[in-house]
Amino acid sequence: MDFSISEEYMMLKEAMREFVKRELLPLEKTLLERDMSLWTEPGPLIPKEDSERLYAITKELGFWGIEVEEKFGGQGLGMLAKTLVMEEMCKSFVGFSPHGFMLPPDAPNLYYLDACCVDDQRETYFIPYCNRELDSAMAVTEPDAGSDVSGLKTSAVRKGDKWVINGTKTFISKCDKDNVFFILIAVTDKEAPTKNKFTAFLIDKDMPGVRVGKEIPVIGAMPTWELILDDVEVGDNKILGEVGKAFIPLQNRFGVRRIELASRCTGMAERIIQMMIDQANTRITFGKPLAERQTVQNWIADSTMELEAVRLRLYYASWKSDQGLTDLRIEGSNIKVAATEMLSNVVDRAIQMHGGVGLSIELGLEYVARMVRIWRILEGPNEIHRWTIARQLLRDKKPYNPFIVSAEEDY
Amino acid sequence: MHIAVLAKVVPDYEVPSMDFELSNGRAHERFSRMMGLYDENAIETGIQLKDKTGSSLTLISYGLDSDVQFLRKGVAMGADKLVLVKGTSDDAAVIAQNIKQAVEHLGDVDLILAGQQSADMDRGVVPGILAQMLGAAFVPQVGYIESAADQWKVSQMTATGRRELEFNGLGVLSITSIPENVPRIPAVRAIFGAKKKPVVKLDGIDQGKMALAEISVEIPKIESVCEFIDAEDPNEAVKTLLSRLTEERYI
Repeated sequence: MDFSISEEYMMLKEAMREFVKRELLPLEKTLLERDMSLWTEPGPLIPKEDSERLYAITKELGFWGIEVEEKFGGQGLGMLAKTLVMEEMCKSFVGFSPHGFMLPPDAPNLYYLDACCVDDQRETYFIPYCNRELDSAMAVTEPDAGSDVSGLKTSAVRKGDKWVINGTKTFISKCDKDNVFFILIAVTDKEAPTKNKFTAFLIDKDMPGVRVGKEIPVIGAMPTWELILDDVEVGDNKILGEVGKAFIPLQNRFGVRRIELASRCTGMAERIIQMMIDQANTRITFGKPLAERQTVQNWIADSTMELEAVRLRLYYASWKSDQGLTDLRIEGSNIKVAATEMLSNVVDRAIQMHGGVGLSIELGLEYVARMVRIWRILEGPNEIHRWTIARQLLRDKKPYNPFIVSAEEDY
Repeated sequence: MHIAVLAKVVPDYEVPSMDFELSNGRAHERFSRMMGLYDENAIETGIQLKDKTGSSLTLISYGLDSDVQFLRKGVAMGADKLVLVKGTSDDAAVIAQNIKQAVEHLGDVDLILAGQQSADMDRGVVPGILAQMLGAAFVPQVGYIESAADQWKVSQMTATGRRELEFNGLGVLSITSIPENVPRIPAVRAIFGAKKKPVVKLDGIDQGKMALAEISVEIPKIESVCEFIDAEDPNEAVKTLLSRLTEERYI
C-alpha cells in the first residue's frame, strides 16, 4: 500500500492554503457578523462584491471544477484532488460553510445533469450550469417525506401532451437566486413500486404556478424555503432522465456529495485542533498551562485520533471514486456519519477548553458547532446511513470488504 | 536575456525559531521543509522582469536531491528550469562557490536575484560573496528593478530610507519584500505542468571554506503568556495595559 502523496497534490494543497490565508481568513469576521443577523436581514453571508472577487481569483487559479472532466471546463483531476483542496478551503469558516463560498460548479448536480440531460436540455440547462450562468437546486423533501421518499405527495399527472405538477416542497435551498432551476421529484405512478414511482423534472423558477413560500429559519446558516407548485404545466422536454426512474442516478450523486461533506468536516477539525493546541500552550490556570492538564491532553489526543481515523476513510472513498467505482453507498454513508460525528465531538471539546471565550460568536467555534449539528441531519440523518450500511451487510451476510486488488501490470 | 534566481529549502518559517527542536545544531528533520520566504519574493520579481523583458528564468539552488520537490513550486510560479548543485555545506563561501559553478554552467546569465534572508540566522552573506567571486555589482535589499538600455536601475529599500542605484553588466541583487512582489499562487495547470520543465543536477564541490568553526547553536526561549485586558473603553484599556507592564517591570 502506498500512502505517499504526489508532489503535485501537495502543491495543490499549498496553493489553496495560501488562497485561504490571503482571501478567506480576512472575511471571517464579516461572515460571523452576517450570520448573527441572517434571519432579520436575509442575504448572503459575505458581500456580493467579495464573492465575485473570490470567484474571479479561483477561476484564474484553476480551482473551478477540480474533479470535473475537462470536456465540461473542469480540471479532470478526480475526487482525491478535490478532497485535498476542499479540506484546505474548509480550514476557514468562509470555505467551510456552503453558504459562505463554494467552488463552482456543484459537481454532484453536474454529473446528475450530464447523465440525464438530452436534446435541448443540454443547451438550456447543462451548458449554462457548467458556465455558472445558471444554478441548480434539488427539490425532493416535503412536509411528510424526508429520508423516506415513499411519503412524497407532489404529483405530476399526464394531461394530453403535458404534465401538470401540484405539491409543496420544503427545505429547498437557493430559492433566493434569480438564476436557479430546480430538479424536482414528483410521483408519476403512485401504484408502481418505489423504484418506478418517481420522475425528475426540470422546473424554472419563473414558470407559471411556481411560487417560493416562506423562508424556514433553523439553528444555523442553512437558508431554505418552501416551494409551492400549483398546476405547473410542463412538456416531456422537462423530464430529466426516464419517466419513473428518478432515484437511480440520484444515488451516485449522493455518494460524491458525502465525500465533499466529509472533507468539510476533516478540514475544519484540523483547524480546530490547531486552536486547541494554541490555547493549551498559552492559557495559564492555577499556575500551569492547560497543556499540562491530562484532561486537556486527552481532548487533543482523542480529537486527533478521531480525525485521522475519518481522514483515511475519506481518502479511501475518494480514491475509490477515482478508480471509476460509482457504487459508493456504503463508503458515502460511512464517512458522512463518521465525519459529522467526529467534528461534533472535536468542536464540543474545543468549546469546553476555551471556556467562556469558546461560547463567543467571534471565536467561530459555536458557528461550527451549529453547522455540524445541521449536517447530522442534512444529506440524510446519520441513523438512516447506519441503517443503509447494516442493511447491505445483513443482505450480503458478510462483513464489509474494503480490499481492491491492484490492476495487473504488464509483465 | 537570462535571469537566475537563487532559492533554498529551509525549515518551516511559520514555526517560531524558539520552537525548533535542534538536532546537531539544525532544526530537527521532522519539521516541514519549504522554500525560503524571501526567495519567493525574488522569484516573483524575476517572473515580472521575465514577462516585461521577454527573458528566460532559471532557478538555482544548492542542496539535496530531496529539495527538488519544494523548489518545483518556483517552476510552477513561472521559472523555465531548475539547476540544483548537490551538497550539504553550511559554509557561506562554499555555497557561493557552488552557485558560481551553476551560473557558469548556464553561461549567459545577465542578472542574479536572491531572497534577502538566509537560513543561517540571517547572516545573508552568500549573495555578496557570490557577487565578489563573479566580479559583479552587489546591491542588498532591493525592491524595484528596471532594465533601461544596457543598464539596470534598482531601488534599495531599507528601514531608514530608499536609495536609487544603477549599474552595467552582471549584478547580484538580494530582494526584499514589497507590495508589488507578493509571490503569486501557482495555478492548477502550472502545478501539473511543472514536472515537465527541465531539472539539471550538478555535483557540488566542497572547497574554499572560511576559517570558521561552529562551536554551538542556541536559540533562546521566549516565555509568552496571554492575558486579556478587560475594558470597554480603549483609553481605559491603554491605562490598564501600561499599569500592568509597569507592575511586571517590563517598562
